[in-house]
Amino acid sequence: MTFESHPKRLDSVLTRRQFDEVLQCLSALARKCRISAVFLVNGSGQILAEHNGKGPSSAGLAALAAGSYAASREMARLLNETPQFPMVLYEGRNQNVFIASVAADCFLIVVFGRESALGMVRIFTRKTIEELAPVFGQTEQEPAPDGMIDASFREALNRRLDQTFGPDSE
Amino acid sequence: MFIHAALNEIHLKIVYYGPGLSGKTANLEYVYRHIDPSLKGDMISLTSREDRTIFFDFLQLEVGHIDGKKPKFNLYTVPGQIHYDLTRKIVLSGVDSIIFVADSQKARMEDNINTLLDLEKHLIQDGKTLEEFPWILQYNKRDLPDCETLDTLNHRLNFYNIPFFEAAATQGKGVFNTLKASIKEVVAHAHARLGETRRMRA
Repeated sequence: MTFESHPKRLDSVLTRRQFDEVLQCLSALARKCRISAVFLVNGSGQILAEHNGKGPSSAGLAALAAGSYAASREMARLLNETPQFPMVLYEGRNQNVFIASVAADCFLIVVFGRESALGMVRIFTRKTIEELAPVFGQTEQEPAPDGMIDASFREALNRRLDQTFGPDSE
Repeated sequence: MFIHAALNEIHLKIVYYGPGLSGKTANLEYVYRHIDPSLKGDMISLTSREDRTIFFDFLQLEVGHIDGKKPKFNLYTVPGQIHYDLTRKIVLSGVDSIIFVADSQKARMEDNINTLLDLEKHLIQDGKTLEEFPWILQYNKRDLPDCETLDTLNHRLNFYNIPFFEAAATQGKGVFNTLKASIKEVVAHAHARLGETRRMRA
């Protein structure tokens, strides 16, 4: 699999086994390239897995990267570049951010500093994407675990919402 | 919706949609300023020099563990100005629920309607419809003079008879009511979707 091919779309459930496999891939990438942090994020900006040693706060970074990823996809479409730009690089003085497409609606954010060479990060990120491909193949088949959202959860959530935000007012 | 079974997390994306200057960012800012710091992340706003949203505002909200599970709500706004059409499409990617923030002032009715049509266009492009998608209405700026009556607003905008809320977002009125209702709506919808998926697999 290359950056350019997107055979699978990430479904909405990630199981423990898949999560462990993804974490192994991300940890290996972090170790080999001595990077600060690496995140696997879906198109909605939700973090699926992260290896974040001394890296940045994650939720905001993921939301911004998802916007950047989606914007680059739209730019590619406007320029008739298909399927999309495989990577986006933000090059800074001390920190760099590398965003690489993994699947149709999923990408990696790699944050690395001056101690890591961009070429090496690119090579090993590509390898990580190849390793992640089988995980996405399985993911499409995974159902949501029973009881994840049920009547009991909804009742408890409603009570918590009232505690957190106060009861409904006029 | 994304379910992280390994971490017992449920991620849901809620987008505030509406015409320019209807008060989408004001809603999010009020939530950010008035919620327990332990339940929120940083608020991110991508704005122009004139402080208008050009991409989105973002705030991640949590309400702790519920029945052993941890729901996380990713709140976004879209830029309301007409020429940010593609940007709105991007922000809507993967959306689970929409809060349509309408401007109650009489002079803004056409803008409300045009923006609602714009939303419907984007949903249809993504295989969804306003009729079946979970969304709620907020009639904002009720504190200003020259507002439309609720009857008129409902007649022109609420053609699917969805839940609606009055608000004055800059003062916080109706902000939490709207958000709570949206969360309940999106979770109810997710519950139904999961049940449907299970029945199809059985």
